[in-house]
Amino acid sequence: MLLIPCPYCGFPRPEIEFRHAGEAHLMRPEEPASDEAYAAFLYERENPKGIAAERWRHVHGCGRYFNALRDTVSDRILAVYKPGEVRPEVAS
Amino acid sequence: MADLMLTPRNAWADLTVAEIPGATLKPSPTRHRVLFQARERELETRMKAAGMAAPPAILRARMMDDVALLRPGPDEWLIVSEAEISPKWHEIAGPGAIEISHGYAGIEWCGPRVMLALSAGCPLDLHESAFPVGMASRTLYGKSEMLLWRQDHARFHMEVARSYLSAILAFFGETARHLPQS
Ligand SMILES: [Zn+2]
Repeated sequence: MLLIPCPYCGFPRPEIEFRHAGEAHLMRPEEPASDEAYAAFLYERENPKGIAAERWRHVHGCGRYFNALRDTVSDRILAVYKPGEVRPEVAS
Repeated sequence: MADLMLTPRNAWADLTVAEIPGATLKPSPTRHRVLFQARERELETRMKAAGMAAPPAILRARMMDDVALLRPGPDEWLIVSEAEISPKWHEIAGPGAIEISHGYAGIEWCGPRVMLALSAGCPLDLHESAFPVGMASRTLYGKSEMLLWRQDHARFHMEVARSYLSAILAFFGETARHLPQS
């Protein structure tokens, strides 16, 4: 089982306690915004092969949302950080 | 009809508990629960003003007077009590608190093989170095979400949504068939 460190609980927890919640750092476009800007906000995703910034929720634990950097090739979680914190630098 | 509405049905009615040597599971006498959200600093100030000790750290539980205060999340607090929760505690919990007494059931797990029985359904490391006495965390048992509080080396308190109780007891019964003997 994949272990995911929760930044609130402070230690690795089993993956089945978590829910994936999509790409992190998506910003709602400022009003007034074009249809294209909204389409990008709603539908366009990075989907990288490599390091992805994602939101996760510790739903069967502390209940909190947080961000994680995950390598989509190796499935390793490289860093976790709280919402509002700057995305950390990691080596792939 | 009115009577049925006013008298909560016992969550354990019509349910049977499997017997596993060394791991006993029974209804907890805790009947009252209040859940609330508060920042730690804010709550500490309120509790200090009421002449109480500091609230517990995250994922910890603390007995305070006649109630237990659990902290399953950074700003989330659960008061669990056998007796009616006093007005003093309601005041501390604040106006946003929710009374969830009838929505949940408390289960007492105890016995020398209780860790083994729990581990059959719980993905957390329950060794005392990872889950020490006094720790309390929401997690899973089988497919059911629950809140687990270690009260002693071989004694746990589990809080579950009452609608999950039958699933939890069924899973516990299943483990009886798979646990190693002795
Ligand atoms: Zn957590």
